[in-house]
Amino acid sequence: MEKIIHSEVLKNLFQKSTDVLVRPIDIKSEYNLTVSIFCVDGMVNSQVLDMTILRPIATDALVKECKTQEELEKYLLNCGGAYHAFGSETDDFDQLITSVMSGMLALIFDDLQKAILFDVRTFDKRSVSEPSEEGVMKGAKDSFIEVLRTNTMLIRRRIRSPYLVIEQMYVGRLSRTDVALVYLSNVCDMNLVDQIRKKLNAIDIDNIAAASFIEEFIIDNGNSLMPQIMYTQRPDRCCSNLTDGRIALIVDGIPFIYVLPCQLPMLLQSPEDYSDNFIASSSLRTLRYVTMLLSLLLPGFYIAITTFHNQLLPVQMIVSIQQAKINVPFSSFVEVLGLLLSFEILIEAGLRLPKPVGQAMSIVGGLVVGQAAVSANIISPVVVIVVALTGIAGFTVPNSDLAIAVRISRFVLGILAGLAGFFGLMVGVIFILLHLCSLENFGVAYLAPFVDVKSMNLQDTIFRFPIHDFKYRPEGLAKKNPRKQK
Amino acid sequence: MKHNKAAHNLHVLSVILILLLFYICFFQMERKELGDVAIVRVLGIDKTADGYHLTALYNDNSTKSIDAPIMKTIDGTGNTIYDAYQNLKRKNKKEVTIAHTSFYLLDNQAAADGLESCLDFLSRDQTVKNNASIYILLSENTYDFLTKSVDDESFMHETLSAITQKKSSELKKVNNTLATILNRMDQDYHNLIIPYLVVEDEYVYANGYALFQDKKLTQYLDYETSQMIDLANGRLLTCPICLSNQVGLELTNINAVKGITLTSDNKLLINLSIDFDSDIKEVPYATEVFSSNTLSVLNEMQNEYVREYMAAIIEFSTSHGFDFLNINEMIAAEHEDIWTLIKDDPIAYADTISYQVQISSEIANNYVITE
Repeated sequence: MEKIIHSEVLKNLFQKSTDVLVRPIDIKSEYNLTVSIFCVDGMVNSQVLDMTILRPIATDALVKECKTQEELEKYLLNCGGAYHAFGSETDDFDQLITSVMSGMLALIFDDLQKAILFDVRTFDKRSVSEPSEEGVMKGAKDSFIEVLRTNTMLIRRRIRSPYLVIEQMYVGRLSRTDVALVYLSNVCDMNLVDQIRKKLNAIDIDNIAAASFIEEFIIDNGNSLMPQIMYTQRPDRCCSNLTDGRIALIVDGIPFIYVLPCQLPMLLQSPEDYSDNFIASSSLRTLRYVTMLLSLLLPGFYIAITTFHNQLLPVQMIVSIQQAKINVPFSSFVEVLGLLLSFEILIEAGLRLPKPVGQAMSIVGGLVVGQAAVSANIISPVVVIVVALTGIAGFTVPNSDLAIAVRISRFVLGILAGLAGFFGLMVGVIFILLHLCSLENFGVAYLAPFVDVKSMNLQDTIFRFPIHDFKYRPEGLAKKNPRKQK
Repeated sequence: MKHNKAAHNLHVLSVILILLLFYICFFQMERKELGDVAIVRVLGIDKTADGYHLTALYNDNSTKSIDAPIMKTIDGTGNTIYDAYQNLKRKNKKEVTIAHTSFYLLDNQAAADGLESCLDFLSRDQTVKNNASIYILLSENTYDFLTKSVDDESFMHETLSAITQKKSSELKKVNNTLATILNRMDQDYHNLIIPYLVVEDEYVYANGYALFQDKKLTQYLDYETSQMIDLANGRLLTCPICLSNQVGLELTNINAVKGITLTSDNKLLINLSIDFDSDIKEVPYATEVFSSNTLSVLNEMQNEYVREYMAAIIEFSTSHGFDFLNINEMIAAEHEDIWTLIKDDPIAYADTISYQVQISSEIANNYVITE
């Protein structure tokens, strides 16, 4: 295919696409000039198109005086011929196609093999609404949506600094998805920006269909179960990370943005932490750490203690557990792992079903089947308590990627505990710790600031200190501008 | 690059080492499913003509009980405790464990035969609870005692637990745990005493201390003397006494301080200073107990009461070579040369130790409810 900007070329290219419009417009004058409109039906605002572009072309006397397409193009673009502020010239065929496919309108000048692009985009989009995942009582209620430009607007509204950079690029050979790299140029480490930019440019894939299509290309350790990119639906959270020296990545079509580099403590922070009193926030955040460990270790702990080390339990508790286990045919190992698996099935089914049916199924699955299983001596009530506690504790983890990692890890730890008791459990924990310690995210340790830092900047980790104590940005991120406040 | 490769190799090596350890431990771990274990709550040790007879009171977890758990006993006999224990384990269809046993009862004969043979097996078992309590059963053997309790559907482990709880509320620190007794046996300071239980019809209670010399039961002390031993050692929190004039008192804020001085003639002088307060609990006749004169008389009487007991305790200590006041440990620590002389034959060297007892007290609380 010949890549020249010409209406015939475009007509041939899109002859089978009914939604793509390549329409010549003859200018009734003595010079008989013709320009072509090139746009996608449904993506352009026809009212704006009519009023700002077509109407001047049809009625403006000065347009009729243009002798050549060159004069016409200059008049429309530079001399206010078109009543539209966002016009730009292009002679790049690929850029033309990408722009038009993303909703812009092009005026094609065949003789010049050039086009003027006008941003007259309009398409159905969700309004900015409350975030579905990171809701807060006391805080902003807006969230990112699927449209990149709306998302950049939400960020720009909060950070009015001239240093806020929004670099836009395309990813995906066919989809040509808009991706924006957002950072504060006076805070952020530019080497980090270069690294991410390079990784984005290196992505060579047809289509960015879902979040993982970007995620898996830019993380350093693709084989790790641990989430290495934080995502957020909240513009305020994104902005506070930007001011910390992190970089945001906005992908058109995805209603949240990525924040990187990501460290484990970030995944246990909740937006609510910064809305409440610091003592209340610290208590809740500590609780989150504890519940994450509980969710990770409780099934393995129960299996180990009831199978290998029952002397560690108080005797009254042993007697209660024994009584509960009478007539149950399975070992603790099978009981716990079986019930955990059932729990996962319930969660998965609940996600797939429509909301009202999902709720009904949760009641039937959780309460009715659970109660029936206990009555039928298939499982003991203690195991139901352990698994329920594990599951509920898991839901307190604010980041769903981390929650999934915890959910999978607890199966592995449960199996190890079933094989070798506390020793097996400890082997699993050591492996996890080794793995976490070995992870690095764009040059920053995954466990930072607990490890690999010169000064322990722990003000925003397990405890949330008062805001006036947040003097410095996280180490390793904002090298040239580390101070946050006086 | 080289550094990365070395780090990677180290990583792989550490993973292999952990897996190897895991593999080794996997075959070493003793798998005991909780439902397959019979938990012994009380273990009774009797000495018979044929050897030892063990009786275990355990939770029966083979049948479901809606109310309280079902208790059963199982017994075993053998030449030694270990032998008897193996016999007991063989008899039970579930695996018997003494990891949760909180009470060990020794009958009179087993205690008289020597604690070493009774407790050696327990001292070598790493699963036993160190804070399990040991009691001597005064009047009957433990087999009858435990089987009868099962027949009567009385929860003997709960009764013993209540007794222990009561003792720990009376004393600053209980001295009949397995760990304490094994330590005392090991140190051999001639001061081993273990509380004994008296069974009267349906009542079981701790009355006083059983005295062990050369780790063998020799004597039972009465309740008052046992209390005064605890008082002299500063272990007692409160103590009721009844004076000869029938006035009842409760001693509180008890402090006992001991010190050793080496005199000029190379003898040891033990200074025992006892200080306590008391509350008047009963005056069963009409008298003016609020007058300072009466109070001072009562004060002197209570001092005399304690002094008499101290004298008796010291007298018994010197004549029998038994260390009720726990001074041997202090001598061993502060005067090692003297301890090497007296440790094997304390009676022979009893006259080289003299005692000085100072008692000070005050009647701190004295009131009566009137209009």
